[in-house]
Amino acid sequence: MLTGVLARLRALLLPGTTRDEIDEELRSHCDREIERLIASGMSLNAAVAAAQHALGNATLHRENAREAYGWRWLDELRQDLRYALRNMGRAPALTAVIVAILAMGIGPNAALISYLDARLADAGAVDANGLVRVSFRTAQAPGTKLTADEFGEFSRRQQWFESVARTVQKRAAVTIDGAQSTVDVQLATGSYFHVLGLRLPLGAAIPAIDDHAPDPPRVAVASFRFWQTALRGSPGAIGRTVNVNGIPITIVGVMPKDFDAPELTLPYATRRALSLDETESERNTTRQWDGVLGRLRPDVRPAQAQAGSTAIAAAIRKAGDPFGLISRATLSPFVLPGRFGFAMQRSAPLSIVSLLILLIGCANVSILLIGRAVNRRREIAVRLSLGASRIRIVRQLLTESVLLALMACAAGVLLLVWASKILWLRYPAVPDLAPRWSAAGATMAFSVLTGMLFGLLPALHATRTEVGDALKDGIAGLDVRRARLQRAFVIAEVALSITLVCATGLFLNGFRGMMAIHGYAASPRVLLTDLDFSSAHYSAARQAAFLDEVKANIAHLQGVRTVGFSDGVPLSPEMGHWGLGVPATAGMRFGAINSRVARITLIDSAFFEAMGIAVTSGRDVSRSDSAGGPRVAIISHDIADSLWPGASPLGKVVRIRKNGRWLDSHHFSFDTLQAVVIGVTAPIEQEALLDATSPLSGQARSTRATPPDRSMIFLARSQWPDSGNGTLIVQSARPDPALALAIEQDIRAADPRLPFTPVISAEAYQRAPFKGIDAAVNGLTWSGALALLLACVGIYAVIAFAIGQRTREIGIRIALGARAGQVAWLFFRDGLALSIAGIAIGVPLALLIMRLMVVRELGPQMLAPLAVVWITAGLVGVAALASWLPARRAAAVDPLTALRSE
Amino acid sequence: MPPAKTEVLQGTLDLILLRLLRAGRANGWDLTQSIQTVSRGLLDVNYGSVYPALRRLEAAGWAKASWASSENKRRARYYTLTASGRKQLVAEQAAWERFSRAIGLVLQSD
Repeated sequence: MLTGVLARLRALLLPGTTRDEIDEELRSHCDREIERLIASGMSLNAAVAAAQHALGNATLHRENAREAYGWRWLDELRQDLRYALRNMGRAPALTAVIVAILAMGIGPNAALISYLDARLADAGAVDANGLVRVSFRTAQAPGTKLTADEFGEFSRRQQWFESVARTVQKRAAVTIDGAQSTVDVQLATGSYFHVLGLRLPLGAAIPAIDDHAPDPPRVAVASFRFWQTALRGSPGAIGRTVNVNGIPITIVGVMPKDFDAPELTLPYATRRALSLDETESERNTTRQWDGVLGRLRPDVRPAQAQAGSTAIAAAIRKAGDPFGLISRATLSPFVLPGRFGFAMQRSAPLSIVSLLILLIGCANVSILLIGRAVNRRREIAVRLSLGASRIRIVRQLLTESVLLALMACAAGVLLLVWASKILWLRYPAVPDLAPRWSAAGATMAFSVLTGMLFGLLPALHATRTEVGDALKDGIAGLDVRRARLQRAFVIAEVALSITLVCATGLFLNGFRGMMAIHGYAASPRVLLTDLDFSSAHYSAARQAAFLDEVKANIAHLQGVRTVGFSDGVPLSPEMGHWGLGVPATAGMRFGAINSRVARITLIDSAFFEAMGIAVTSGRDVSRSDSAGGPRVAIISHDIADSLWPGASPLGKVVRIRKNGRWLDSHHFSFDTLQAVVIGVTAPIEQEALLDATSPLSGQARSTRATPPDRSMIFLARSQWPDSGNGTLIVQSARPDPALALAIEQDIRAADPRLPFTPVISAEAYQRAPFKGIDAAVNGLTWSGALALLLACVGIYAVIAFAIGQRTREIGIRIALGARAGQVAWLFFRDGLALSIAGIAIGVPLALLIMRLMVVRELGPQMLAPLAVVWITAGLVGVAALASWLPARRAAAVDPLTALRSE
Repeated sequence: MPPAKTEVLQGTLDLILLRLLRAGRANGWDLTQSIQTVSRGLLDVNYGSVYPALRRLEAAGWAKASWASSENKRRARYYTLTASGRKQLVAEQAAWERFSRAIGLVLQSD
């Protein structure tokens, strides 16, 4: 067997030698035969003739002998490639255009393939099979958390999941080697690591600890990032002790690299010991790492589990709960939070867009190739008439297009390596898009498929020819059929381009919409930092003293206008919904028509000025609104409108429920407090942020459908002494990077132990949840621009090509006395008419496809009709230009030359 | 008048060559002469077609080829049967005998 393989390999690797040897063998045979015949008495001439006759068709035998090794297809491929290269060399400009178009189409897809390849490799760390995230909402709030008791009840009553876990996101002060910082942590129920099925790269997962264990082990699993930075990436970090809110905790494990968990994951049972207990006020605030995870039983469908979870959750929450009854539970596939989850979610629209771009590219190239095939009909007819089989010619043409695709693949990948370097310089968050070697094979295969895709139709078209017609055609000149075909191409090209560009635009639009930040325009002149009093165990008096000192010091810095403080800014998604109502009747019930859910912010007298929010009627909070005086409130415009329509809210009383807690398992109690409305602010929109963070946290899409909640109520901080952490707001005269450093120094000078976040501008603060998303939007924008560019290039190429084909006709017209301008106008009109025909097909098609995509929730919003008009107008403009320029050029040609063309 | 010749049936050339090679190493010309001698001139073999057939045997691993000088001091390609070639010969010969017996039975029936 091995001998055979070796012989075949030798024939493959040394085709020249094999051919020579076969020749030699046949020659040697003839010589010996001739010798034999002469020896038997024949003359030399007769012997030569007889020997050759006995041998038969030597050429055929030679060919057959070579084919015996089974490499015939390879020989043919070699021939085809040579032929294809020769053909490309004959039309270098066309080849370059085709390669460029395809490269632009293949490049983004190659990027995506390597991106997904890299991410999928990372995904190995978690067993995502059947893993889902369960999120809950009430009629009013887009997101609500299950309390510990509610979760316990849910966990007992549910029957669709093998197990469920719950996490609660908190912030904690962490001290390592004396250095303190405030970091995100999560409290995870005992089942957490079991549900996730995580394989940790270092150390071990936290074992299942009873969530109510009286003395739980004080252990934590660090995130990969935290391990790399704070713990210096040392394997010795396992077993180390760090202080969390002053309590020593032992690090037992490290999360996988792309599992973007908060810095520390702690057992839920340790919440009391670490002063990380849940607060009632945060119940309707769902942050990135808040939520319920579950692993579906293999025999349960997600829809089943979702319906069941909704029913249970609705029953669990007791009537009269101030945070509202749970109206719905939503299951979404658990994508790993953070980078990987984000990658998957982001890549869905990206991959559709990049496929659309490739489709435009393929359509263009396909049409160009059909155009060229029309041109090559004579050549193909000659080959057919010489006996080439149709399949052989189709194969040859396909070889040509696959070769083009591979060239484009190489060009696209080079482009990508270059582009990803440039992108990386601007946006370090952009992942390295340069194709990894492991993805190179997939990219190549993809390119070959692409080549087949755009090459097959032209090849079939080219070979479906009546040999006689084609041979005559070239001589006959004007060809009605060909002209009709080319007109059809132009129409098809315009229609396709409109459809595809609109579809791409729709995605871009939807993606941008998802990211959009509405309302309050954050200024680069406003600087913010979050101060963490609770980790530092500040008393109310100490807080006040600290704030007075820091505010006074910062106010003296050069360029500072105002220094304010509040327990949150309307830029942050992390503000709670609290109940708010008007005491219309004595037995007022929250949740009734005359109540609203609003976000409550505790502010000082400088808040509105520092944030640049206008108080449109009434007055601002002032220093005279002290702890002893009547409590005051400033409400946002829309609360005023909905609670007191048509009347002035000033002087009215609002009742606010705050600090709610369960007395026992049936009774809920809060402090209901009253405040007098003293002012109304201009409209504030901020909740869009919450929705925008959903791709990060992997929440269900449905939250996006809720309108932005702009309801806010501002209370004087001085009148609520128990208020805790908050944000320091500094407005300066102009953006000044040095100011941030000065502010940080002032805070440290006042108390070196107080944890606070780096001072950043309100703009950066607002955009913080979008790090990375920005890069994706940029990528999409570039892709969209590319799609448009491709469509333009395609339309131009097709029309210009069609006109170029009619050079002879133009020559005849000129020779018959038409003026150049007349001819150009004729073609211009013609091109325009074709484009309009294309629009007539393309626009309804685009609308239909967009409608379908909207219905299937592929893109959230319909593209504005105006955008469709703009896209259409732009493409018609290109078509007009494409008709005008080549027609002018053709008309300027000497008629004799024109007549001789072809 | 030479005796009427019979065309070699499709596919049987390989069998003939395998059988002839069993006798030992041979080159193409030797084999053409052997075919004439052994079949007493009854088989009409196109000499040229022997060469692709030999290449087929080589590609299948049934024969090994090497260059050596022939009796007339010319370089010639010599083919030797391999072990798997011997096995193939046994198998093909058995198949042929079954086939020809079957044809014989059909033709002798009334």
